[in-house]
Amino acid sequence: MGRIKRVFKILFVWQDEEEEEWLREMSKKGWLLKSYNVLFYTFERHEPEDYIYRLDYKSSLMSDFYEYLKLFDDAGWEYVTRYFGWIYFRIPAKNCKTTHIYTDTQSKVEKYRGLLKVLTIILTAECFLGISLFLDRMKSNYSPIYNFRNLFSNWDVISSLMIVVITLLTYAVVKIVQKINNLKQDLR
Amino acid sequence: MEFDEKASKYIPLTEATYYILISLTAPLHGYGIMQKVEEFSKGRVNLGPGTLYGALSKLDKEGLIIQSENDDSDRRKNYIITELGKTVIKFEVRRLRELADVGEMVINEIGG
Repeated sequence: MGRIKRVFKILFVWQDEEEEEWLREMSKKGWLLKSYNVLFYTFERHEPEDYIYRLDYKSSLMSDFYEYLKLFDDAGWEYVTRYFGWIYFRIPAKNCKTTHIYTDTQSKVEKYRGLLKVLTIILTAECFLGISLFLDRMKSNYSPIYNFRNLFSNWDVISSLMIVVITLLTYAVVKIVQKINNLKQDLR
Repeated sequence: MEFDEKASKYIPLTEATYYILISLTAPLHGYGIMQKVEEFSKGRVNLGPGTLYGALSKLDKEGLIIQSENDDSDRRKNYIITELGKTVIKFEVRRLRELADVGEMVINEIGG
């Protein structure tokens, strides 16, 4: 096994194409992706070679995951790792028949639709959590009535975190919807 | 035939779907499908594995193709077209022929 290095990089869920480009650049510098875990990418030293990376997204557990991988393998794409719904593939640029795992717009749209579905579910759950959290914060020890002033005097790290999470998720949903709409423009 | 009404729901097909369907008149697995489609389209249509997987899942779910028995012990799934799938192809070819015939007529008129 070659030298290993860990790289810290923040890439959001709507930046999958940027991530693909960055991983490609790393491969040209001689670093191949080994795995990913919350903000840290683990790379392994390799001969510098131009590898194209593509990220697929599958929103549900696949009963035919091995058949799915076999299809990619047959087409020359190497399975690298997976992270929640994200599945990482790469292929030497000189070997590939197609530069992308999705060769028509409709199937690409389906990928982002799956992602959008999951993001929307998480956002909805967070909103419910947020509402119950803020309702709780609006109470005081002295009266059972909900009061906005209590909310601000009771403001804490958790409250701030909730706002940040909901904002990020909302932004992610918006960006993915934009992506889908841009792709759909190509269809008609 | 009751297929007709059901089949017309699927028209028009994307190029990828159309080529995958017509390559499955005999049982084939993923790689075989990719090769046949490339052959049929003379290298113009190359299917990415993501697109192929999505199309096969959808066609299978809709009943236009079906998994056929595996002769080989490896993990590859073989698919074959169903009667419904064949009806869809017939409709689609008819539609494409209509488009091509009218188009050719117009091109001849404008001296193309």
